[in-house]
Amino acid sequence: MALSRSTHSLWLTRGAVLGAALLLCAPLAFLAISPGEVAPGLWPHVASVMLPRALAQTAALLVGVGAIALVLGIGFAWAVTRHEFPGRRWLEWALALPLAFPAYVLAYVYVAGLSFSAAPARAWRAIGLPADAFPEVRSLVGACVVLGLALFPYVYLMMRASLMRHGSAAFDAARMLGASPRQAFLRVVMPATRVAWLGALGLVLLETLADFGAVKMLGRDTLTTLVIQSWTGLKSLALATQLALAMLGGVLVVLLLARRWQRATPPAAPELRAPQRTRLSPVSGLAVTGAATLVVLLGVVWPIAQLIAWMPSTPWAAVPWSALRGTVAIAAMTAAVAVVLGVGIAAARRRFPGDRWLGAGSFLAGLGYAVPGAVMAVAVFWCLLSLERALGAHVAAIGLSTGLFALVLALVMRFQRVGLSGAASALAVMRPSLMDSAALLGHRRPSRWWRVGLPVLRPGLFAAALLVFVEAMKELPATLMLRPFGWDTLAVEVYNATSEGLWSQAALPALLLVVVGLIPVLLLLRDRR
Amino acid sequence: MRLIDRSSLLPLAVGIAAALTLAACSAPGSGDSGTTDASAAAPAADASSAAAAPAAPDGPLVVYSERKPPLLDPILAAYTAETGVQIETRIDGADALIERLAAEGANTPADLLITVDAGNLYQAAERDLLAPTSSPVLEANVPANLRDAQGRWFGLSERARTIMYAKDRVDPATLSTYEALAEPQWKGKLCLRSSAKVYNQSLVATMIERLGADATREVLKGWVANLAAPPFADDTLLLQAIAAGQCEVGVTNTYYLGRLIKEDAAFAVAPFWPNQADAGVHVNISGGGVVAASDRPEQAKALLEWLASDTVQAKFAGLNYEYPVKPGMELDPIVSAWGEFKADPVDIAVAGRRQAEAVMLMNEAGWR
Repeated sequence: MALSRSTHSLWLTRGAVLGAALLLCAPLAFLAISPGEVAPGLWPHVASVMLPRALAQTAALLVGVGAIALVLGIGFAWAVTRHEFPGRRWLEWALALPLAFPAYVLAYVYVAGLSFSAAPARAWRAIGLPADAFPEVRSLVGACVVLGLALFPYVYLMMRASLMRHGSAAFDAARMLGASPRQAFLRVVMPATRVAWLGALGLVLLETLADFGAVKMLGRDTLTTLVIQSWTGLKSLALATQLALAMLGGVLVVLLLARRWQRATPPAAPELRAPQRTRLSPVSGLAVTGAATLVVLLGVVWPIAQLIAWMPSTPWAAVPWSALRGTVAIAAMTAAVAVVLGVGIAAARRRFPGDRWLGAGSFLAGLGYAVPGAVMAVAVFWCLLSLERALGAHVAAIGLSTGLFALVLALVMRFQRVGLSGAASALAVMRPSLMDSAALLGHRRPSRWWRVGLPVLRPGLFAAALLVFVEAMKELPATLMLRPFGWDTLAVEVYNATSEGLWSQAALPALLLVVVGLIPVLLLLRDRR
Repeated sequence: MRLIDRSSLLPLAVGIAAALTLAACSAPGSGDSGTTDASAAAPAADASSAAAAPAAPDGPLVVYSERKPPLLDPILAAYTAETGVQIETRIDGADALIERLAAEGANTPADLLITVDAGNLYQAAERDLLAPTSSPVLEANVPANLRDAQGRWFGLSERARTIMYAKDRVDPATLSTYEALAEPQWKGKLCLRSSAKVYNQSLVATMIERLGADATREVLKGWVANLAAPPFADDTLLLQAIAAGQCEVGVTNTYYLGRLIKEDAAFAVAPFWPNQADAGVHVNISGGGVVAASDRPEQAKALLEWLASDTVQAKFAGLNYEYPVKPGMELDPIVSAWGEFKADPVDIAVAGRRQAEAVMLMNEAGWR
């Protein structure tokens, strides 16, 4: 009896999770039946001329951005959780702030702010340094640095949260057993925290892969620019969708390999003792402070100052209030849906650990993160429109494809992975014994979740929602294509001005976008303290 | 065993997703269900969308536009003030707007499509998204080479993409043609925008039309060999690079220079009008066409005619330091100071016809 009920519930859960995942993937599958044929002659050209370059540049960019994000993210997370150094208290939160910058805004600030004609380069030449030696932002190194600065906070935040519970006591134990700090870090801390840094690295790499605005500005030819160029330049949406699908296939393989590797060793149990901070020697303390300050200057302070400098003289007359409201509303809706879905899936996986159907569902639900937003938008739009037509007049009247639903669906598809990993790590905090104790104390399941589960989960879920919020707020191509009539967002305002080169008009919405993004990031930090 | 299980599970799941979607997405495309749905759905759709976007024939005129609000809204507001016709705009890139029009088909709320670059209008027309429109006003005011022969689209402003040079370092007498920028004397002195920008693609498309593919490829290779810096993402940054001394010559649209001169009258870059002895300066358009599925084609046409009329032409172009398509209009002083030039009279539809070819040629020449 008990067995059959549990089997029943397993199948119900599987159905719900897979159903949700398929809903999130269905528009992607639409890419497979992409509209039209690829004109003859396009594929050979792409394969011989464009693809090799795009592959090489994408690979180089992924390696560079990944390395920078890991080094900065893990390094600073370790420094702020384990050490005391001058300015640690404010650097600890300031280091997360670059997260508020859309990569395309940061890229523009760097490209324009460090151009040949801008003040830093002029000063460089004025003191007699050779003009050629001034760093060129529109280069591989420049692109890696800019994207690394924009994305390393993912690693930093997740690693910092993880280090509060994992690896720190084990590190001390390994040291006591005679391991060098290096050995102890690489062989004890890194494995113990791998869920955090690997997950964050995944986000960083996928974000880099799917980015269009920033890499375009930085002059990189990546797989995503190839997809977009196939559509807008070669005028073949069919070619673009085939390329996007191939890209997705590659991501799928890599993610599966990563999952296998991650599973090979069981996760470490949380440590009971919070990490203790030790004071660094004055020299190394100042070195850490200097490095962190430099990163904050490069990633936050200078870009904000530059945007302010570019603003027209009376910007306050032109505050785009409706775009501000639109941004907050759309990002909040996306965050709510993504987190609710994420919790559902993560809780299901927790209830039936090791169930492969649930694993597959959770995996599929997060796939959209690797798809360029513009392609995603086309897929969602076509699919919903076809659905409307198939279902007839009554559904068309709801306006599936023209309403907020389409946009929120596309954004949830894009960022479900963030919601999922956030929800999963929030749930990971809750030890099974906690719910068991509540059960022993006579609480039924709903009451257990409400009175015990939710208070424990709240900070983690809030953090997951904030992360999705920031992502959704910065998103551009899908928002641009799918927003209903009358809805504007700050990202759209930035696009409207920059696509015609009107940067002084873009500075205010860009700055507002950053400010709106800073709020959740600050909340995130306060909550995790 | 484990590996086999897991790796077969995912393709299976993806397959199910694909099958579901196929079922959902492919059903309406076949047979006549689409058309019957369209007629049946029309009243319902109108009623429900009234809150968000009234689409009834007496509701606002809907314009899908690639031309951005700062350059469009003041003009459309003037139209509303003059005629009382309310206008709603959807702003996006041309490719997304065209894809949306195609997807919406007969149900589209759009009445007018406005894009920059003739190539985009050509694509929309090729996909039967624009209606042939005959209008004595448009035919009189828009020169034949800047509109579609069947009246599916009309240029509304003309944009010259020309050679720009640093006034303090370049003697304009050393400049002659676009092709001549490929000569070794400009080695390390030329700046170009990214080949991904449609303006460059159109320029190259017209060059292919004029010189043939092989000669054009040689020119492009010469340009790439002469580059002083990686291609720019933006014409404004390129012009600033010329002014600051990173390069001496470049190729940009003139209105970007107009804006920079508006901010700083001493901005030391000037346009040079190339190929005056032969083809003329490459000009492109921003323009519009009546949407084929519009339920108010007459109103859309009226707006188009108004945009091409004498009184509006100067303002529409002048807002952005472009040239009116109608000859003989008054120009902004900044623009008229650059002097007159002979424009390439080629049928601008060639920008669309040869766009893919141009992109491939640019890739082959190594122009990023």
